[in-house]
Amino acid sequence: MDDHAVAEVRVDSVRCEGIGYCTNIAPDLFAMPDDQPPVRLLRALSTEADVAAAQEAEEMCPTRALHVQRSRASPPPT
Amino acid sequence: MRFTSPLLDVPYVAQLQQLTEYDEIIEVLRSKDFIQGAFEVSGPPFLHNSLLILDGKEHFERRRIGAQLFSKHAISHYKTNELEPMVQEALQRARTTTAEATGDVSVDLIPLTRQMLARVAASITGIDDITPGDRTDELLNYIDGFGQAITVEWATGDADAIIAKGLEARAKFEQNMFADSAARRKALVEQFHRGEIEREALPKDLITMLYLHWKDEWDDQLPLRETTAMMVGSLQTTAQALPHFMLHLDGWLRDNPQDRVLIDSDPAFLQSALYESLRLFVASPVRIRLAVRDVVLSTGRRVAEGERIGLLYRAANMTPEIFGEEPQSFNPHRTVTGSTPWGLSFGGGAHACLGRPMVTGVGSGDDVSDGTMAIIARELLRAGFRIDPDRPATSDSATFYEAFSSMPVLLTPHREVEMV
Repeated sequence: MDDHAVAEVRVDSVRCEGIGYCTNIAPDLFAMPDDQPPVRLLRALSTEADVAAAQEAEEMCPTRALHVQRSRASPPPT
Repeated sequence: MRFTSPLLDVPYVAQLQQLTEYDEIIEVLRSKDFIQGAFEVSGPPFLHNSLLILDGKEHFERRRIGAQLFSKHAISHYKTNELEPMVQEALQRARTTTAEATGDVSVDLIPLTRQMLARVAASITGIDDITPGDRTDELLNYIDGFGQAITVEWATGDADAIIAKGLEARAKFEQNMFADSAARRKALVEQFHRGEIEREALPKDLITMLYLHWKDEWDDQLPLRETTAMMVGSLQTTAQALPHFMLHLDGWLRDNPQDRVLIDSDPAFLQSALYESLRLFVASPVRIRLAVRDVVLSTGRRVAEGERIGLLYRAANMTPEIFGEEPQSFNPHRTVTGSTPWGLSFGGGAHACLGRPMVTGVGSGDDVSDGTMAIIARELLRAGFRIDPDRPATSDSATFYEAFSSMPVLLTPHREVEMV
């Protein structure tokens, strides 16, 4: 994980079908080169807003191909 | 156990091009050249402008609302606070029925499963006061009525009569259960908009979410239609799949008694068995898509603009290259490559089942929590579940779906029983 990342996103390349909900929700985080799965993460999640967007994308994904995990150094805000 | 998967001669799909190849179906599900093509009869009265039949931007926005109901936190709440207590309650009520001469408790798995799931469906949608007993039975009767109507394209009986009964059931549901719950939530959302309460004070359910994200172009019956559709989706399919799972498991353990110990010693075994059962028994074995323009698929198959085609998920789940040797057999130790172990059983593409993580569990790899079906199955096994050898299951002749109307099973009268 990037040292400055608040959280990591793992893409399950088997489950990703390229539906594109994530690229609609967070186009600055996710992209699908050549419109073919699997989707790719464009940059590290460095803010809480990034994490919220990634988490929404995770839960919107019809195949649950995205997995967002916080870094140990960045627990959820209270 | 072996299963066959021929092309379907069910009237609803018999005249359509039927796709059975996994990759070809995925291509259609991903394509923007196809939209939802089902529910031609049930759609107008029951599903107008609902998530099930929308496409494009509207579908995405409505799904974004619905997805919040199936967050990890929400699923954990449903399991802990709604499902698990209802499972224990339903088993305890079953044990109070007259015991057989052998001392066993005889119960029908079909209504038992529905009772276990009723409060989860109510919690997801926002229907209050679904207490065990009469109130749950009343709700299940309503769901039966409008559920048969929403899936009327698969019914064996008279469609007009089924639709009429469904409308009657929905009207009673609206009057006796929906109206008060919806009014309560609408008032709370209005209070929130006036700044009188915080967002966190709002219930987290479908009816509340719809009022919170209301659009002027929606008609005031939309929450009722979305609620009835969600109830059917969150209860009927799981209630149909569970008996098949218990049959698959029962048969496997009879032939492979050495695996019985794995149910308690290896949590992943029951989950794998569940996924294998779901792969074979697909609650909605065919999905219909409609071409919005002339299309030539990469296989060379031509689909004309306006043509409906059938996507045979069950047949695709038998692809040997993906699902391994003897794909028509139930094998909880199966290795699957290139797909989820349940294949297309929850659909795919933008319309994939919203509630799938509820059923299969949340997580991935070795870190997967039990979903609703595994939770119910474990408790049934702990209760000494056995198929009743003297009373066979009865198929539901009212539908072309492979559903059971009755499955007598036996439980022990005691709360827990040794697994090995």
